[in-house]
Amino acid sequence: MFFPLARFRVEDISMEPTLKAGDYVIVNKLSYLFKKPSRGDIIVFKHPNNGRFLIKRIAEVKDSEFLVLGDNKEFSTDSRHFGAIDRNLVVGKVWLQVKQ
Amino acid sequence: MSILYYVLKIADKIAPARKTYAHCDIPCGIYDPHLAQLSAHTVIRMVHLISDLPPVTPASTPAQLQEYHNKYTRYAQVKEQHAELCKHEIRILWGDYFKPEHAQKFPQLHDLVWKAMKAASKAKQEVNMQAAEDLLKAVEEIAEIFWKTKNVETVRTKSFYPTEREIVYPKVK
Repeated sequence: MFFPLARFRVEDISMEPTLKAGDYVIVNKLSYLFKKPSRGDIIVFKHPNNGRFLIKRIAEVKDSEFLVLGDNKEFSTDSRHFGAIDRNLVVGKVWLQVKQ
Repeated sequence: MSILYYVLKIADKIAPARKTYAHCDIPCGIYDPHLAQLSAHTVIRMVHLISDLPPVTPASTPAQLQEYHNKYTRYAQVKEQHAELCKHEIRILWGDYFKPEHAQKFPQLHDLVWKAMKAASKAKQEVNMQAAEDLLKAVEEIAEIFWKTKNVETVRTKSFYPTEREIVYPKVK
């Protein structure tokens, strides 16, 4: 059964100070059904190489691709390493941040 | 802790939430150019010790020859190991720590890494004080850039090592 919201737990520090390890996020999988993603959105997507879920902020939107960056750039592996991510890899936009 | 967080935590125990990573490698964040500097100082020290060995002559006794070869081998071995360790530490900083924006801000970074690598290799191949000095110089400059990327001031001061060369420390307030 399709459910439009998904629950994720943040595992590490590269989105600090916005999100810390242990925080929860509720992701809306339908956010981008009728609306274009925009710069600054925090999204959950699948890593283009290993399929793990990653959480980052959109830094740039290029047609059907995005460049993403972690807020804590020093400890983030993001588009600076794996390049742009395809829209198909996006799970959804973070709709609710539930902090500790 | 908010009520919603508490609810999600309980929900997590019943049906664990999927994990989302902010990083795809170990985010240990533990980097320090100090070990590279120590290694570069060690290389200088070993070149000193090798150069200071009393030369063997046709008149040297078997015991003196044995001592010379034993010491020379040990010094050369440590020089080799520490030049390699220095290269290893620089590779970690360069490959894992430094990011494109650091190289943009400090355009000399790539060249310094290249110089350090070349100097370390030369210091391994030869008993060459200039190569050892070049290695330390490049490593110190890399150390200064490293701390600048963290907005930490540095102090370049004479070390307390027998090399009597300088070392770069982060300034502790």
